[in-house]
Amino acid sequence: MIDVCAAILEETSIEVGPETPLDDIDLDSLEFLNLVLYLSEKAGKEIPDGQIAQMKTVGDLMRELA
Amino acid sequence: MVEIRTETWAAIDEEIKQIAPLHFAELALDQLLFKPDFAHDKYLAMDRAGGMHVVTARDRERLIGYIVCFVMPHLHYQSSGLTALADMYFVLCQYRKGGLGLRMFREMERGLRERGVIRVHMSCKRHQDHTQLFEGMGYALTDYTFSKVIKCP
Repeated sequence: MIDVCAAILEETSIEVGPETPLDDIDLDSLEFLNLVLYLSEKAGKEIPDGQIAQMKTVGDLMRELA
Repeated sequence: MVEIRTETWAAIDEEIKQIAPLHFAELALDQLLFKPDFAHDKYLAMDRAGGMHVVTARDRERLIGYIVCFVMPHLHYQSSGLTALADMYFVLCQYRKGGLGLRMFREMERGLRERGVIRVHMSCKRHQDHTQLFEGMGYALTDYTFSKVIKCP
């Protein structure tokens, strides 16, 4: 499984876990887009538009990429 | 936690008055000449006619961001389906993290697709250039827009 937390940590230097709200992660939209594209490529899976919009936590992102 | 929703203009018509001044102060051109003054009646009329698409971000129900689009058949290509044209978008600066803007644009695309929109036109100011973000989302640069004040109001 892709380590979403590690990828975020690499970008932001903040510790995150599945319960961390996305709103707490200091990534602007372009940085977040790049992160999602990177993780989607690694997972071989695209996240549908509606799902991206409704994600609230790092755990939601992890589940979409699982 | 911030919630992203598709709403109507009517749902934000009052609330937008609270944050739009921050939006315009940050982005509007020629601010000595042009003062923010929404044509609320016209927005509401377009909303009622089904010509608007609004995505909001709310923190505990408080409006903290919005994307407003006009939706209509393009007048040059009216039989080719609906086109969406971005009117404005904004997120309060303290909420510009966690990819909120990107997530709002994705919700906008989802909702527009559901309404049958086949093409979206987005734009941004030169002094707040979002080219990389839009290109990353699959948009292509198609036009340059020029503006000139030709008479003082």
